[in-house]
Amino acid sequence: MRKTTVHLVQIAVLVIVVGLWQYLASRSETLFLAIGTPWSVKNHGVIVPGVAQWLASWATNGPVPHGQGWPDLFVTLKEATYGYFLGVSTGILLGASLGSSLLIRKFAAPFIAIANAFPKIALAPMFILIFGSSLSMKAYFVAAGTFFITFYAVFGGIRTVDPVYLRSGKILGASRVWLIREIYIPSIFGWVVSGLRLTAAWALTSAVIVEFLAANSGMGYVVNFGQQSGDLAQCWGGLFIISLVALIVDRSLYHLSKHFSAWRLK
Amino acid sequence: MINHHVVRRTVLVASQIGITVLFIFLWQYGANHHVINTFFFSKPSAIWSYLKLWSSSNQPRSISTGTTLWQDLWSTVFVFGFGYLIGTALGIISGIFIGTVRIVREITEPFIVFCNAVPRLILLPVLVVIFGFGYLPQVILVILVIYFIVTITIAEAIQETPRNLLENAKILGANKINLVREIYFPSLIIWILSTSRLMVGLSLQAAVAAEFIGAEKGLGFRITDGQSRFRADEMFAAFVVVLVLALLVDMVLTVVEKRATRWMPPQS
Repeated sequence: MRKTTVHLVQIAVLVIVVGLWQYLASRSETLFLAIGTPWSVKNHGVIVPGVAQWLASWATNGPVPHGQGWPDLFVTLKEATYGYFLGVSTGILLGASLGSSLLIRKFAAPFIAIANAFPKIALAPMFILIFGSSLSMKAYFVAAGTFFITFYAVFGGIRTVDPVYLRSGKILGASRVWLIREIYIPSIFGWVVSGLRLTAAWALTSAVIVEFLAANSGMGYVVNFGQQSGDLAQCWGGLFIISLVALIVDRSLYHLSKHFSAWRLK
Repeated sequence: MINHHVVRRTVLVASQIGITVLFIFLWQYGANHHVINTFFFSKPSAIWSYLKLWSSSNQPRSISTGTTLWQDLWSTVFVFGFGYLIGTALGIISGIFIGTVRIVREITEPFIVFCNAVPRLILLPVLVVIFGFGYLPQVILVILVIYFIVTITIAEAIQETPRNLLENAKILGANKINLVREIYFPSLIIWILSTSRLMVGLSLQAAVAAEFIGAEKGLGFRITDGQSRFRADEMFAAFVVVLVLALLVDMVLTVVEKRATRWMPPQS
């Protein structure tokens, strides 16, 4: 009973917000130009498509100003996925190999702290300058961010490995390979899995941001073109699609990480 | 007698400084001898002279669009600071509201989960259309980036407040305001501090990204300006300033954290 009421209120809130948006924007010219409308309206005798019409046109590969429909989404996903796997794999490898040595860890600590404080998004223009406006440039930029987040998580995670286990393992005659397989990997696994979720969101964000700056395809380009031509339906529609993808990725990784950490003691 | 610990520490710091100096030297040397392409990577001496020109008030038109380093720095710090403060304040208010009132929590939950999963940085073009150019869309972007995370953190903190503390206080006659002031608030401080490093990092990131599109000053604008005019020295000079800013903010945070948690028992 309570649950149904909550759901009904949620739907009502959504309907009221969208309805208010449509009503206010179709009444005021300034507001219409600033925020667009969810459904198409007649403006100065011309029917201007709303977000819903734009989405429908996009999904059916219909005409989208300077966009291609689904291929744009695939371009963005390609950049994000390539960069993600490149960044995550190098991050785990380097983080684990450098982090397991106490000497390197002490030596590198200030440099890593500095690199961690630096906002990685600021590097986007440098990647554009060096690699030009190409798909591989975007994948490299995505990889740079995901690499650092993963590297930092693994590098820091290794420090939390219980030294008692390490000492016991060594006393019992474990070789370095054994220590890595039986103690290090299970200990940092949790860090890696939670890092995967964080980096997935970052991969998508950074791919879209770098598409804002230099691209001729991809969802970021579509949204940016909407901004430059004042086409609010295109802006909202593009953002909606990216958000939906981000939500799906985030939720599935969340359930995956729960599945993999089920054996852990709370 | 020689203290081995001190010796080790000195060697470590000396080697860290040494490798930094060596890196800068090799960069300069390689650039001078055409091993490193200065078109892409500039060189330390060029970056330094750009920084000097940029920070002076009578700079030649060729290097900039008229703003000095201090104006650009102030612009970014303003967006970052205001966005962080307002975002945190709003997040705390709604977090307390959501955390204490159960029905509100249940209704808003899917919306907050959705908003938190959405990459907010990409909202920038829409904000520019809605709010025009200038500080307003930039500050709002920073607020949006941190608001939902603060809200979720605070709501969780409130729900995880020790039950027996609350019940004891209630038995002793505490009302809702007393509870908030004496129990919720001190435990919130810990949560806010523990997430402040993350929030500050996200805010700075958002402030720099906000200046990529539709800005006419700021450090983020400098970086894109350097890229679009193929001036690697301008870009790297802006990187240096961003880095110094990030480190300063980090240092301030460390001091604040130490001060604010002085009353707490040391953690094992």
